[in-house]
Amino acid sequence: MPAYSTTLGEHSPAAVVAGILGLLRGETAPSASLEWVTLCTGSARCIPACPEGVNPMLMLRVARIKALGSLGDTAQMALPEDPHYFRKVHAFANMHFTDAEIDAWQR
Amino acid sequence: MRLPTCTLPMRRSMHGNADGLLMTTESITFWYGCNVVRHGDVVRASIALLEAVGIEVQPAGGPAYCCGTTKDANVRAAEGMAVRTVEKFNAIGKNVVTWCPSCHRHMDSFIGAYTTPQFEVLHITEVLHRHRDRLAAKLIHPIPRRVALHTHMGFREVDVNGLVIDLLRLIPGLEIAEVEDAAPAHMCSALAALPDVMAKVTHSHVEMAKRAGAQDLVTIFHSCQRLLCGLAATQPFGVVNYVSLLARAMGMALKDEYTAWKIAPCENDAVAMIGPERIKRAGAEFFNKQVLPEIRRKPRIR
Repeated sequence: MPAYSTTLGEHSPAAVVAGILGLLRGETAPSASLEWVTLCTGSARCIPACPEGVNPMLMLRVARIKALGSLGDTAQMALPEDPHYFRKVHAFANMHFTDAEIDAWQR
Repeated sequence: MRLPTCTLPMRRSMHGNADGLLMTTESITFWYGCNVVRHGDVVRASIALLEAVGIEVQPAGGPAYCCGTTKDANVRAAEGMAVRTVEKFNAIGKNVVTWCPSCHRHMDSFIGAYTTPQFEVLHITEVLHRHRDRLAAKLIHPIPRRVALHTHMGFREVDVNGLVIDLLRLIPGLEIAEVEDAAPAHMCSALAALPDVMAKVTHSHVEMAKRAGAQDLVTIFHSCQRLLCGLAATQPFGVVNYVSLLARAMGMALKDEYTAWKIAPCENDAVAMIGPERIKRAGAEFFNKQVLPEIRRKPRIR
């Protein structure tokens, strides 16, 4: 996704991908590889383009999970989370649905 | 902890064949997801459309049916959510029709690694398209408007863009502008963490809708509706979800309240439209601190 990065295009694609593969093996990733992980929008254009039958979009998602330290590795990046995510869902459900609908649909 | 393989083909085993599933099963669980509850009209329209084509619908959604896709930073929590949800669906014993592309994808790519779904999964666009002849017979109210479809390129699991175009063509009087400007990601919320990208995409689609002379920009997914509907306050077109148009063509009058609240001229007007009873149900303090600011936030196009 170099179009959305001011620096990613300056790096060798092979080196960026190698950093992702290293990350998947539990290694510390170079900053350019982490930037790719961060900037991946999930366009899926990479999937038909890959000649090796790899799903790079899913590979980057798993790399992100690894980089977040979610699998027990040291976290290499942070993911801003909305601490009110689920409470907002409950609030909007209460604004749009009746108690009976919530009981029947969301319990 | 097993994670999905990144080599193709992706998991397909639990997914039905769009031409085969529901041939005999006409009672389904409609898994609408979490964030679509901001749009009660979209949930109701979806249920009505499925029922209109002869399907018995058990809706299920909200946090108690979370797929876990939001928990990449805590895969253990994601696994627990997914297992709990799949166990509920297994207990219901019906095939599952999804609304949310994130839920659909997570079921496809991850959840099968955690547990064993005993049901097939189809997206609502596939089901409505499969029964489009039945649906067409119910779409008797013309909608004489010119629209442009807001599309994304990232939801490869289902050809939603093509299926929705076909469904919109069933609406008498509706003119669909031919536009080709698919946004990255599977829906707009996936771009929210990249605000500059989101602004570029939004700007591009505003210009596309204007060039097309569209009276409405039609969204496919709830997060696109949520993040783009505020454009109606400043742009010469409305923003409407495709199920709302289909339901309207069936004669259903479902008000898009979320959009009305967002484009209300001022905050006091929005609060008055929502009303004290619903604010109380949301929790007044939480509403004022977290819900209202989201409702009033407008899309950035630069």
